[in-house]
Amino acid sequence: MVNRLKNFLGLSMDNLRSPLMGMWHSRLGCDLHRRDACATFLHRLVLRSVVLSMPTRRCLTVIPTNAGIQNGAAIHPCKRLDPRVREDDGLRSLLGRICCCVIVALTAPFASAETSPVYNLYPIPTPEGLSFEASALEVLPDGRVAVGLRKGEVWLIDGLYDNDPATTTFKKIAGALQEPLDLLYKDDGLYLVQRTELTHLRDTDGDDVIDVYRTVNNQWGVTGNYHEYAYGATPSKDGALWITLNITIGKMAYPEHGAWRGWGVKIWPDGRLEPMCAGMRSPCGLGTNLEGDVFYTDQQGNWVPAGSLHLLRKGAFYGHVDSLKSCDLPGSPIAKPEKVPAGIPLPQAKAEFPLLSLPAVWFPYKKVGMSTTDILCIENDEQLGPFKGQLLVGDFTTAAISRVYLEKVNGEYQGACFNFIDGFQSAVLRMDWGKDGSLLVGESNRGWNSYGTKSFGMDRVTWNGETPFEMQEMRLTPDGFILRFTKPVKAEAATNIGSYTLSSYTLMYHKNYGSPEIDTQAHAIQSATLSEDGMEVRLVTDPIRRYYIHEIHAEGVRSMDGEPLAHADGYYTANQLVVE
Amino acid sequence: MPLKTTIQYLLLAVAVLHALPLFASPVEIGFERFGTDDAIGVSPGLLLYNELKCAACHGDVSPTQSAFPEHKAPILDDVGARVRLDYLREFIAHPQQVKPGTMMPDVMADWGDGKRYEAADALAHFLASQGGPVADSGEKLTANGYKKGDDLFHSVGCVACHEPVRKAQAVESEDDFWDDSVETPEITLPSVPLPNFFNKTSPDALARFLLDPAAVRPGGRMPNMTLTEEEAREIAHWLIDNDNAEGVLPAKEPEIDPAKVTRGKELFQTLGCASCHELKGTTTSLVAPKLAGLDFAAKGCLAETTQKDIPWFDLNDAQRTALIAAGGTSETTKTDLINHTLLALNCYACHERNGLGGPEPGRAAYFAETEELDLGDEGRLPPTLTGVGGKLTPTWLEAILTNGGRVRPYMATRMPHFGPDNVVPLLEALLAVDKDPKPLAINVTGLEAHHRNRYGRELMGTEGLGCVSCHMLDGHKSLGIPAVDLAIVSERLQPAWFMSYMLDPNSLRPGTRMPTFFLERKSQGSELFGRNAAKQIEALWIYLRELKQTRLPIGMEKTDDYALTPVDHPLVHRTFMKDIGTHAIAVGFPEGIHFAFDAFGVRPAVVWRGEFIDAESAQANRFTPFVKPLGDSVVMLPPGPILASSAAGPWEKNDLRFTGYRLDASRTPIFGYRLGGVTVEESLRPTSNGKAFQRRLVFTGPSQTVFLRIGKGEQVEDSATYRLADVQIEIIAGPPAQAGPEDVGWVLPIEVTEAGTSIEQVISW
Repeated sequence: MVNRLKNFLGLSMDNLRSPLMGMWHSRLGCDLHRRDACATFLHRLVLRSVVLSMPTRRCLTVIPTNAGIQNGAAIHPCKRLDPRVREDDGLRSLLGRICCCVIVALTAPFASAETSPVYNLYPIPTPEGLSFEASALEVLPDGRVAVGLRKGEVWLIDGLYDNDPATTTFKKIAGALQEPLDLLYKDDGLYLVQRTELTHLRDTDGDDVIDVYRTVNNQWGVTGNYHEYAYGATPSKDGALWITLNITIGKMAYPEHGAWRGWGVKIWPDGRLEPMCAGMRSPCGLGTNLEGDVFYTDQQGNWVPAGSLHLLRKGAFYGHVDSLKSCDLPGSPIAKPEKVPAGIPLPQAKAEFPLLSLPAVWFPYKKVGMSTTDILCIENDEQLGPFKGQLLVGDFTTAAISRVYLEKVNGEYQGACFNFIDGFQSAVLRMDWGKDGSLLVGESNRGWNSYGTKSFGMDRVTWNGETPFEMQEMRLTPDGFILRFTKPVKAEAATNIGSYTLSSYTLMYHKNYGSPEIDTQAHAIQSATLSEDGMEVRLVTDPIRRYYIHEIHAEGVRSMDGEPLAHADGYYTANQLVVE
Repeated sequence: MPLKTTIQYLLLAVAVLHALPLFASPVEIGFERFGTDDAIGVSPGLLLYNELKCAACHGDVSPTQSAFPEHKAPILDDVGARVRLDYLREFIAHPQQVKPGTMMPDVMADWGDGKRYEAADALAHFLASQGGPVADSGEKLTANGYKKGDDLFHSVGCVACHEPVRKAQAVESEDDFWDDSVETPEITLPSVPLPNFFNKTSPDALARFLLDPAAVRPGGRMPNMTLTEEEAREIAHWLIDNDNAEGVLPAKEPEIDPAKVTRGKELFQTLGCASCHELKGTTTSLVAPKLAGLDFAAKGCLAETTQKDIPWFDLNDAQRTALIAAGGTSETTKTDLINHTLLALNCYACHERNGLGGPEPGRAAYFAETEELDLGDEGRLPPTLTGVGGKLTPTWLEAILTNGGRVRPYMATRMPHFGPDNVVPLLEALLAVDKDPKPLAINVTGLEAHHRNRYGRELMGTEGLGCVSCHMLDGHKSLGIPAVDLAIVSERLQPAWFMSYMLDPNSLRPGTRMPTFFLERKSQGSELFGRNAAKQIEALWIYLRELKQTRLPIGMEKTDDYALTPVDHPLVHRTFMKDIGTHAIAVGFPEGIHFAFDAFGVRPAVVWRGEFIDAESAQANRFTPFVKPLGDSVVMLPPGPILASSAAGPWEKNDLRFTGYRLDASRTPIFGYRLGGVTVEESLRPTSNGKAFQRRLVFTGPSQTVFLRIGKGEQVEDSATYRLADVQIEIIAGPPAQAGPEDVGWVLPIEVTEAGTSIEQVISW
């Protein structure tokens, strides 16, 4: 087993075991997502005490595949951004941790063979000297990966699934593009959205180099302002392609050219642009769920009080007021409202201004990321675990990926977001599934900053098939929530109402940047009932508040093995209430 | 009088009363905002006592009060040079009517009108004789100057205390759409009153005052806004213009009557004016009784009605009640002093401290970035003062308070300065009260520090924590948003605060966009020092301290050259180009001649020689500036659209659409566009001598005639050559041109065929 692991990782165990800290991290990470018993009881006991004394947990291993990355399996801690969590638990805990470290280190050799992280993260080495700002990503039917770079090029990567830099090849296939932010393989070519147009790229002479750059549509406004990014080319069920257009922020060089800024539009196969919905600020990600409905994410800023996930649909207005300027243009499906309320809480704004469409999910700032990006649907339970149908949502600043569970209440999508995977090299911009079911991630943080060790790059995440212990679903009921876990849970802890805390808050609708959480209220948990299969807990709580975000912490819940949740916090947006 | 007329008069009186301003009592802005708020931590009456200068007449100075910054009435030396005589008379006669909210009392409250006007007139003549008349050069500004005055008044911070004249401009938009449709929060707090500037003074005198308010008002309640001379002039002119709706010329200053001057000087000293106002050659002869043991609630200044020979402040009930209850503790703590000073100087108008103050929503809308920089509220709202004495170094805090130090060039609102006398006690109190109980010293000496400098550089750069992604450094632009310049961090910040802030930015600046780079005291961005947070932060500190002697961080140090040079084959580059627009596609050739195609206007737009183009804007610059050709002989080609379905047009805007391009075997782009059913392919290639462009167009579609624009110019006699403004176009294959509409010039009729009709031209310049 040791050798198998060794070969698999392409590393020597010496590297794995030193330095001391790195080794400790790996052991800890291993334990958290381990299904089977550890090799030694002592090791397990010690690990548990470490885990319990830690406010955050490690959930994934970074596997270096590049000689440039230093020795050892460095592990990034999961970023828990909850400001209430402070690093200092006091001397007792510190001493405890030091002791545990020592014991873990001493016992590790006996246990290491049996453990492995649930998710492995492989940095994909990119060509030396090239700013590989991977801002667009599409896996072709043959498994090769087309990557758009922000500098305006498209590259084709072959052979990256073997994690062997020697056999991974990179080929530039297109250039002279302006900040490509999305790619789609369709119609024997690549649809690519750049700042000023939707372009269809095609290789007509079979040399894998693009020679036709067909302009499908360039009729949206571009005034020359830096913020006018364009995203998408995401197919809708009716055959059109969705495109979302950033709002202009600041000076417009050509104010008369600002058509459809802050809008979602459809481009039909004949090249026609159909304006669909307005109110977007920085709609950086689009994605489709299993039902074929297309969603987009928006990023916190003016009129957008936090990161958000919206269903794209005709006639909707998602909040950013500047976009309403285009209501005067021919073809607008939205009549310009006479008044827009501002400076009031969201529930009140919704009541006074029914045009305002609230998101299916809010991502509370710093608790679940800081700037949402791409959306990728988990297509089956083989990809990253038992999360079929859920959405992955990338995050720029925290170089992380969250997970979204959606349900339909009264016919409308709403649901919860959970922190999921972090520790990427740079801002997560784009995601796609590799041909082997691994997750490919394109990264670039130019313009802002992000966590991670690089300003651009690509990562690949693989799953070892073991179920991580996570909150799988958070479902609304008439009198509270049902939490479904990925593994059966211990009845004693799960039915103890002290294992949970629930609070709710809302946000401001205003032109200021972002919003503090307002009107926060703690909800008492009246009861916690475990389902027969031991997978679900039904919480009866103080009444759910409409249009509020409900934040659950289930720190006390334990799996049958006694593990705590990898992420014990969830955030449910309750736009609709369930009526009995 | 008939009943009907009486009723009319009554109604008129009611209307006039209603029209009176809401605050016809003195406005002490701290009291108005927090007078009933226990959280302010000072006696509201004591605040009024100090700000209304009760002690100037009564002489009672409690130990509590003496510690607070003294409010000083305007110095009246040379008042005649800045305030008009007519205004002085009216103001002295009716202070609250002429300037509602003024702190100046009516010192002739119980006098009849005749006597009152006689006295006010004499006082006005006396004061006007002090350096008068008002200097007024009669100079006017350009329209832009007035607009700048308006913008400055509404952005640099004036409206934090004073009433705005117009609505706030949208935070994000330059469009007036906002004003009609978005409900902005109302301003609910009262404003520090302003006079009618047109009646009171001249632009020259007002500008001089704005440049150095302390020369006249040494109390610092009107702080120095650090305006340039030009800015002061612009604001002054605009304010005066704004109070002169009819646009009339100011009245000529009356002759000064020496007899009235003598009488006025006497009144100035006997009525108590000289008790508050400094004026050379005057001393007050008014002695008010000591307050101790006085029934001041029934008689005197605090009575509910005017009293004989007692100044009348027009106090409202809340103010009267507060003053009657005014009291202070026998000992003044440093916290008292802070609380009192922040109220008296109205620091709360812009800053929050310990949950108190900060701009009210209606006023916050006026706080803006100098331009839209996407810094969020941190780019426009002044920082919190919570713990500021533990954050800033004493030197820096002093520099800010006395010189208006600025580290946020992106913030339109300026930190003013208040004069050393008014803020030094505050400075000392802040440093003492906010002092970190566990000060942190970072060892910056020795060899170890030297290495940490190197590591600090690594951490700052894009391969470390990436600070330079957002932060400016010693004047160098960041790679993204222009967040605060870190070069002076070690001069400006206390090490302990820096350490705490880096460890958890949110705890010290709630809602900050600064990400948390350290969790569990482990770095998220760099492996250095085993991810040890404290060690990394110390290394950053040392690097910033020694910045001047070291290299810029990785990422900021410019090593890249973005100039594109075609060598073996043509190069294509999409970018924003000046005079062409946002849809420019530049094409460069190894021969050294280049052109750019406008994919929105649909035309070849510009040709040039020499260097090709710089790709930094499109490839690396977040702000995507419009670029110009790098080379020379830059010549614009005729405007688009270049194709129309008839010679008459439409040539302004039509259905001509760009359809993209393909690269031929030589990698030369062949552009495509479409007008109705006609598709066109167009290419430009250097001629064989490499000096001019050979342009080839192929028109394909159902049989019809379309017209290609050549442009305005002259036909070279008996030839197919046309001299336009800057270029010459020779038609080497195609029909002869014909005259189109005057503003279009020559046009070429093209017979379109399904098989394709080709046209060739040579463009030389």
